[in-house]
Amino acid sequence: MSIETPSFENLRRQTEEEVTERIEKESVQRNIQGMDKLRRELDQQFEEIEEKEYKTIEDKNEVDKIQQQHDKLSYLTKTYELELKDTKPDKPESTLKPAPKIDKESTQALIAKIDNWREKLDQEYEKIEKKEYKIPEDFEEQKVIEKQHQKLSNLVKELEQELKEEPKIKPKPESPLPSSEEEFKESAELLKTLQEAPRHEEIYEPEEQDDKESQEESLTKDTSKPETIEQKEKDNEIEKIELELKRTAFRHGKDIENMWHPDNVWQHIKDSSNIFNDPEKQKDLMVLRDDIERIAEETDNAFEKHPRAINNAFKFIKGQGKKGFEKLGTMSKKGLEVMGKAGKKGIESLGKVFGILGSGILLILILFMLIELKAVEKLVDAGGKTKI
Amino acid sequence: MLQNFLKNFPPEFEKTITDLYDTILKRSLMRAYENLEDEKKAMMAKIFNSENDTEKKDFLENYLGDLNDIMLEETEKLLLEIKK
Repeated sequence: MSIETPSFENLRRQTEEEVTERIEKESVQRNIQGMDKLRRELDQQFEEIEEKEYKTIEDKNEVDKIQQQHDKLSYLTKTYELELKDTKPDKPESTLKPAPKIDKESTQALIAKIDNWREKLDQEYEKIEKKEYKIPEDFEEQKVIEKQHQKLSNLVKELEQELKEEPKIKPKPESPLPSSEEEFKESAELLKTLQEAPRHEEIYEPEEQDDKESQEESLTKDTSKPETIEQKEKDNEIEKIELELKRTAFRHGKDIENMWHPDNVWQHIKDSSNIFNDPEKQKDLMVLRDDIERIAEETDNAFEKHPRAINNAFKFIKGQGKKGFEKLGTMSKKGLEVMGKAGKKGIESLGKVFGILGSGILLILILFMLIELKAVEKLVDAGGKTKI
Repeated sequence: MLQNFLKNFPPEFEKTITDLYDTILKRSLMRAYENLEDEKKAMMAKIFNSENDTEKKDFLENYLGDLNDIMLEETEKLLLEIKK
């Protein structure tokens, strides 16, 4: 004899439906929560992105694209939520009346779509993160450099034009008059460099005659005449270095017209070589220091075995050279300018320029050390090729 | 305008720079001394144990005139040693 009654069967079915509905609801709610969480994360990421200053058009487009996707996602999430609200039973859950079924397939499709978008967004974020954002200063700097480059080009063009129109025009005392048409191009290049020279003189007067002489010596020694192609390559390299120097000057708020100013040259060495910041180079520097200390100790031991007169001579030279030694410590702008422009060969002559009791030798050593550490090679090479 | 070049180095490296100069000068002086004749060596001992700076300067100019070249050679040698 059956104990089930039709009303109990009905009640059981209804209970089952209610449980199923609850499970579905819970699942949907979890989905909503998941999407909410995702949206919050997206919002946070957008905020982070918005905090950054995107400067390139590509960046802006990228942000716009992401924003659009975000909007789409938000819209769909809201639509989905509304859809869920619409599907909620009108009556309280306690009633046994079955609620209308949710379209699982469309929901899953929607979730899959969202997941797909999220993946795409993630990829785009990764791309964005990998990118190197250009800061506004770079753009300003570029503008200033371009402006100056344009200004210089115009000046050179004007000078070239003047030379073409008046080939017999007398140049400034420092500038040799081109003796033939073939030398015209060379003269134009020289004028290009000369047009910067008066600015140096206006702002930085030579402090010592020695420096001036050393500069003149460097000039007179530079008698090499490279081939046209080589010259072009050198010119390009010089132009590149000069641009880098100007960029350094700009970055550090220095006068970009005076790119060979020691402050700037030194700053450039530090920036480009990263010699005192790069842990690897620091390591090399310390190895170098240890080597020098070891060699110095060995030399001291040998030196002590010599007569006292030599030690006295050493003290005397150091004492006499103190002025020169201090001069190194407070090296004039011209000194560094010459150093930068001298090139390796020129550096060797610096010892003579500064005199035996001066600091030339030490300068050479320091410079060679920096070259060893790949700190100034490019700069010195370019300096050697630059006509003052 | 002056630029204190040495101060651009880390403080712990300044001694090394001084060591470099001292090493070159000491090595050069030892070499220059070895090249002197005995008579000049004696003269050097006499002059550099005195207080007469003018004589010292004169001696350097007259008998150790090639010290500059020696220093350049020693610089090159030192750099080779450092490279090793």
